[in-house]
Amino acid sequence: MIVSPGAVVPLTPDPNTHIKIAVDTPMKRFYEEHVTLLDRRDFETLVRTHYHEDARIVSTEYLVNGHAELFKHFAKYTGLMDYLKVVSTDKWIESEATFAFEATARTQWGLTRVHDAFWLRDGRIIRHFTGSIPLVRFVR
Amino acid sequence: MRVTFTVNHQSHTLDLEPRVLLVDVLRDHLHLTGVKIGCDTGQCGACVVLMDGVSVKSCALLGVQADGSSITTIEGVSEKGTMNPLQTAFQAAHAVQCGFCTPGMIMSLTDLLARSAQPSEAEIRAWLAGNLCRCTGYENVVRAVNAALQVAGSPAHLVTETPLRKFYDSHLRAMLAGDVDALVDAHYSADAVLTTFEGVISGRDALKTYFRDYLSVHTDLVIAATERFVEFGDSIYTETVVRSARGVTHAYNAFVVQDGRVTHQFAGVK
Repeated sequence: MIVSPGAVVPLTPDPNTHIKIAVDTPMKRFYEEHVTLLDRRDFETLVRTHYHEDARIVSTEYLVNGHAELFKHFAKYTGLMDYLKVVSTDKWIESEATFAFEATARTQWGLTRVHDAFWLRDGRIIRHFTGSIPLVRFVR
Repeated sequence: MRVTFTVNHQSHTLDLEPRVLLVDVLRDHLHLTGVKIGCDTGQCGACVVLMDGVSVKSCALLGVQADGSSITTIEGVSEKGTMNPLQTAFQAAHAVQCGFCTPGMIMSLTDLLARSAQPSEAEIRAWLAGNLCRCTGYENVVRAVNAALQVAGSPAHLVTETPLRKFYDSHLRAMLAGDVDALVDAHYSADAVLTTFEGVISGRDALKTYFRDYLSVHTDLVIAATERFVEFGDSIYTETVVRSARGVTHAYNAFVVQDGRVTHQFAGVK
């Protein structure tokens, strides 16, 4: 059975379109709230309301397990987030319990393509995978 | 300058003078003396480490340039004190004499083997052009690499052997063999969900249809390189270079594996 993306709006092929994600779905609202909490540096609310107690973040850069590590993780990256600005959300997909996106972001290392995937249980993240590809490399 | 980076899966935040070389940070600040200083001018390769999976000469980089990166040194390639297959092969093939160049060689070759599953002798020798050895003459080093490949069978096995790594390799083998029934029945739970940007696929029947369609389009499928492999608890994250009749793509996949089966998978193309 192929699960329909439901209310997800088909992506336009226009690369100049700025934000191209679902207009109004529960996952979209969750994502927007997630970004808002990050922007506000409200990590207390972010961790408690968006992540399960035993949630994990998996990336090539860091591995985070559970609320205690999540608090430390977000606190540690506060300085880095000063540089973070989402330029465009380029791809979006969601199902009842998962969503994923690709976005172009400006970071302290320059323009970067980021991809994140989330699995939620009872409305909170249980697994979060994240990766990035620098579009302009700083080192090498 | 305040710098945060990960070394051998441990996060470090250091205040560094901007002039300090990465090799000195690793040796003097973090006491990882497996990283050697030979020429100190970027020629000998004794100081090679992996930065975000790519081999770099740590005497040719400033410590502050490592900010935000993930570094792996020779101390980070063994598993709980047990040498990995490449290290074991170096010992067995007597690819070590004085040993000073060996950590850099191992790190360079780890990068090579992540890029190429079966490098030829010429490729191995060309790759080691940046690693100078004045003892072995390279003969036994090449033998060691070939021995490691036979033992490990896959570059994905060169760093660690874990249940999740074996599961991932088995998944890949079934995929590359085009055996969709074995791929799905043996590796996915009955209600597994695969999330891709083309759609969300749920359940074994839908997964079999999806993979048959995928393989019918992507004929002559080869995983040219596994650039990243991270496992954590029940989760796997990979970045691979995929070659098929459709061309070369850089793919990323994330898996949640519970009770020996994938329950959730995310897949995308860079």
